[in-house]
Amino acid sequence: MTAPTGGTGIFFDGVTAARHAVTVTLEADALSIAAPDGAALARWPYAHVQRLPAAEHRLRLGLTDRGASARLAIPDQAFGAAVEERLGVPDAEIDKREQRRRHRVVEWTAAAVVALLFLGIVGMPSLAELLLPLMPASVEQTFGDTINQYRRAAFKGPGPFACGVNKGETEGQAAFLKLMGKLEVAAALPVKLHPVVVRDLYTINAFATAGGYVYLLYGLIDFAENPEELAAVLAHELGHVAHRDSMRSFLHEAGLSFIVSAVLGDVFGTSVFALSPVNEVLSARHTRTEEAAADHYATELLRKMGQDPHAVAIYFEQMLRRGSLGSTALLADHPTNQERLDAILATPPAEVTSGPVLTPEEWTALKQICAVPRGTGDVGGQGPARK
Amino acid sequence: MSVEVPAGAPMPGVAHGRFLGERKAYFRLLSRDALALVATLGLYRFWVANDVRRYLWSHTVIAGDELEYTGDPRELFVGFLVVIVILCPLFAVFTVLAKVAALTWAPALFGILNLSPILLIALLALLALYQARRYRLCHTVYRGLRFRLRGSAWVYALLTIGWFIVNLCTLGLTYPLARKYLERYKMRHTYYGDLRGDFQAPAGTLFRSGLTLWVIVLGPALAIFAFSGTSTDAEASWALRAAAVWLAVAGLAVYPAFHANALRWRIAGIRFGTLAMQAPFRTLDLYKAYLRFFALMVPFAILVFAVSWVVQHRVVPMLPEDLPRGLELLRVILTVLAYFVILTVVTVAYQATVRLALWRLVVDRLTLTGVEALNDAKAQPGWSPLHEGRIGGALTIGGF
Repeated sequence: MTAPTGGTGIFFDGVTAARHAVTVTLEADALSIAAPDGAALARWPYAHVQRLPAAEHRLRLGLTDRGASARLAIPDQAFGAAVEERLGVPDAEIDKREQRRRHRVVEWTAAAVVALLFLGIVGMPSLAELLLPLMPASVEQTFGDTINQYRRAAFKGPGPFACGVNKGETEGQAAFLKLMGKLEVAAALPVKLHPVVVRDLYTINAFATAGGYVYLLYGLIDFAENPEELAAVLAHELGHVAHRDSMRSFLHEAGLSFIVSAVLGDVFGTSVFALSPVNEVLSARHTRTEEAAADHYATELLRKMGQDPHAVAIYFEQMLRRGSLGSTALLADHPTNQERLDAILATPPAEVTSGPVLTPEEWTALKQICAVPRGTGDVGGQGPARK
Repeated sequence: MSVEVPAGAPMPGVAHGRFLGERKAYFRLLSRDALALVATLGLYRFWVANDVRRYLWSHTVIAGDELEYTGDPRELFVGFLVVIVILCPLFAVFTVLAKVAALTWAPALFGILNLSPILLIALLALLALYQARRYRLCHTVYRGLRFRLRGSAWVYALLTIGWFIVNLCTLGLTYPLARKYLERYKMRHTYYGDLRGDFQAPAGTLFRSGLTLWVIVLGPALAIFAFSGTSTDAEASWALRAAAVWLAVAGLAVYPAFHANALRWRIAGIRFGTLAMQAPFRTLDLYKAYLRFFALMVPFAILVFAVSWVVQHRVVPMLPEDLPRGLELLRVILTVLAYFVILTVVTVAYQATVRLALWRLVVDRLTLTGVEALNDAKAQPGWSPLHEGRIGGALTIGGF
């Protein structure tokens, strides 16, 4: 039995919604579509005809030109098979071509995702680096002032946020300011420092934010064995101030949120950034590079002050040894490892040329800056070192 | 082969819909795409949406003829890139500025300024919703003619926001009225060829069918509120919590019924000239679809919790505290991948259960009257669909 070369179809001309019952003839190079009375309606060259998606055993045809909406349905299955045969491209071939195209899409998008990740990891830090000098110092100062307000407002007590303001604490405050003064003079930073001892008796930590704010939590003073250790940690924090690390992480985070939105295809990332509380954004953990740079800064500063430049490393080492009871906040914020200690110890040693940074009396006074008698710690704060 | 209406015969006034799709084939298509979706962190969603629409449309036979979806995923992808290139940086700048403004000038306004980007997103989402409908309609071909959506996405977005506020003030009692006017805006700007649509469902019908549900959900909650007004603080906080739990549980339980009511009402309101339609599917059938979805989701949720527990309590403690950079990066990538796997599984399960069931229910029970109105429809001269609604279409494809 030979394949039929003619049959019936239902034709939509793309101009009206009317259904036309038509006769379809398979010519040498085209489908010709005619009304029952023989009037020619359309002639579709095979090369421009495509099969349209439809349920099984239903054949629908259209033109490859996307703008054209004329359609031809072939209800008879035997004739439909003949038409498909004449169209030449078997379904399997079309599927394979489509499959290849899909694979290319997946490959390219996967590559794009990798590129975006790369941009997030490498590109964003450098972009932040680029933008940092453009941020005026006044903006940074206002940032710092506002964060300071938030910090103070968030403090639950007991007692005022800052130590050294109550009766019996003033001598400690004088000692603290003397220590900070020595550091500030040696550092000669472009911003004025606003150092404060925070009435947090247990958390062993210190941090610096935009605008020269340096926060020393009392837990750290309590933990330190001598003023030189304290000076070393504070010198490290001044490194963050000098390098404007707070501002850098703010810019960095803004950039990252952009990347996240790009990947997720909405503004989700940006919204997460927008919703995160100020403190989180502005005192975000510093990167390894920033920590290393602050370490280096601290060694140089201590050297300038005639102190032991390796004091930072020694203090961290002690923390690791003594603090093995659990990770302290200082360690959580300043991930310490052998690599970092080695880097500090690799700087050239220097003769200790100046005397102790504080007299023994001043050191004792500093220990009393939050008016806590030694040994008792039942005054408040946030409980044992937070994780 | 069956074509209900004999070719060329004058069309009788009544016609029906029929869905020829099969769950197995549909699920095969979805699960194949799901893999690609995870591998591309969701960027493949335009192709998935295209596959899903092509399948659903082409297996839908209305009055003997198929619907056809002619959209091109590449167009939507390009639209998406345009959005990223133009909108995202603008947005990032806007967000940073809002934050800086809040920090420097008005700490007291921090909350509001901080929320402003979110409000902007909500507005954009509304605009995109209308644009996406535009794209879908102008890429739907039926009997050789295209649909078209005119009208302004801005007007629709502002109407939606206005009605949202009104609904909020009336605790949802004005919802049927809001729905009616919003549907009317959409339908009066919808064209099949040159045949203009309309929407004629009375709000009262939806109000009556929804009132019982409203009472079930809000009644006890309001009663608890009233009670808590006259009691001590401790009792009041307990009552508030109870009211919130009731709202969540009852809301979830009656949602399918509400969904079914609203959908039947909306379909019954659609007009194209004298053409009208009905899809009186049973609410119970939609409940079954939702139950199937939950039956899939419960074990999946248990699995997710189990895996995350094991990771948190067994795997993480084994890792050294100070991870090398490479491993830390790997951890981030794995977390992101896990996020996309979860998202993909939930989406695929929803598509394969609720979406497919709903489509089948509506199409199989669809009855059209006055079909002869379609015979007069003509293509709109000088109009090309090829550039409409691309960007909005790209934005709202998240859940395809």
